[in-house]
Amino acid sequence: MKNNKIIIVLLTALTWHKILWQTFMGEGYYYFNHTFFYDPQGGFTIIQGLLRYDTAARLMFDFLPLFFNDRVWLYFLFLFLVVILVNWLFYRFIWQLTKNRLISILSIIFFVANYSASYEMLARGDYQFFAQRIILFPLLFLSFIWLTKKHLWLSVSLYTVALILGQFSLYFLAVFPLYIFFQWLQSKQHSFLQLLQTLPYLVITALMFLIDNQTYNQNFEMVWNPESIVSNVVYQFPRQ
Amino acid sequence: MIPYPLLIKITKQPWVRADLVKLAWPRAGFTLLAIIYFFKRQLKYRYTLLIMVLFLITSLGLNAYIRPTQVFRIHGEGSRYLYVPAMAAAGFWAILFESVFEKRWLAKTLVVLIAGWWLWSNTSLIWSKMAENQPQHETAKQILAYFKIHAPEFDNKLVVVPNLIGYHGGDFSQKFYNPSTTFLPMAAEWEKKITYTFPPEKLLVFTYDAATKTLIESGAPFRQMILDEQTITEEVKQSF
Repeated sequence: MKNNKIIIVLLTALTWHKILWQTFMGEGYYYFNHTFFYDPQGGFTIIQGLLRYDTAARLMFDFLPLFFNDRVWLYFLFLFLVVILVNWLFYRFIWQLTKNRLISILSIIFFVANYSASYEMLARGDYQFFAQRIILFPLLFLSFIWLTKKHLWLSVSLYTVALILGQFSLYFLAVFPLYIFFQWLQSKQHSFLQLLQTLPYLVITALMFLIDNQTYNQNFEMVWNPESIVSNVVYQFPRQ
Repeated sequence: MIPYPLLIKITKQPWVRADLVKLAWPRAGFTLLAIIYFFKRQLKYRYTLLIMVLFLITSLGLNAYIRPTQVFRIHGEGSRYLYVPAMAAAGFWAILFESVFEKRWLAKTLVVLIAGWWLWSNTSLIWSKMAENQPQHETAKQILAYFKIHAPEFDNKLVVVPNLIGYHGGDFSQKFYNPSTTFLPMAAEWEKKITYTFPPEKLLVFTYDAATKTLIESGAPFRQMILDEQTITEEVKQSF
């Protein structure tokens, strides 16, 4: 495992180290002035704040500037370290599924060194993509790893937190019921209770969907809003 | 599996005579055959393979459902919408290759070559794209460095900043360098926000001079314009 960690760090560093010399571009600066506790539009309650699609990004920028101030390189170092963590946890995710070192190593090569999928997300100075999305993956991968370790409550809790922190987490939902279903299919007992484990993930996502439909308008009043959690997932840009 | 820019290059070759959409069907067909073939052969990981395929389909489906226009406008720089599907695809291909890897030395060599080629082609592309964009990052850093030094001199002024640091880069400068200054980007049609009553001495307009790699204050014509407008307005008032 230790060797694998070194491989992942080296692989990530080899592919993405130039990020460390970058700075924010375009909307990359957005969250400096739009945090969880401060928004120029003002007037948000904690609950309304938690229902936003980008809670993690906003919370992150409540705290990071306290430590990093205007030293841009520190923000990018933070991004780089989180990306290493995500890659490591992705390795663990594949490992949990296959228990095969070769598959895990090949997966990490195909995932880490992927221009088409990761360049826009990591290497254009669009820090908001990282803050809104990539930051959620440690929680999501950990949630899955805990599911495989038979700690359902911990897994569900982590998934719930990830979903609240960023609705982009919805993208990872499919993995949980799929894994539980195929585990059930392979088991000898075919216990119905085992299949029921899919319910918490689905119910929590559905609840978020319902609550988020009761969101707020520009006057900060709770009104019916046809925009659902699903559409919010990709409203990753600040709304004009 | 083919990096997107390479796919574009292939489709532009005269011998291909097909566009991406037409190529999508044979690729999908080939992938389906590969799934069927390997699903039959790969007993140990067939369920994991299915999880990866379904995870891929759900994430791509979610993309297509939520932002169809974005998904199908994946340009030369790839797309952030492929980040999650890339996880599933990485696992999928790794499982397929592992099944080949178990066989003869020739197959092992081939898999190592494919993984090496993938790593090399993507990493070199990532490096070259980042090197291409680095001058923009350097310019943005120079702009911020300038404001860090000079912003304390701009108390209660309206500072128009070069577009490169964008609308929110102005917010960044305001937050860290001088909260009493209003920073506006060139692209924000800042002229329309200034009325004739605006004190011209409070306006500063900065443009980036690539030759000297510094900022030049070039607001004189705009200040004169405001002065002229004020004079005309006063004359009109007096004529009544």
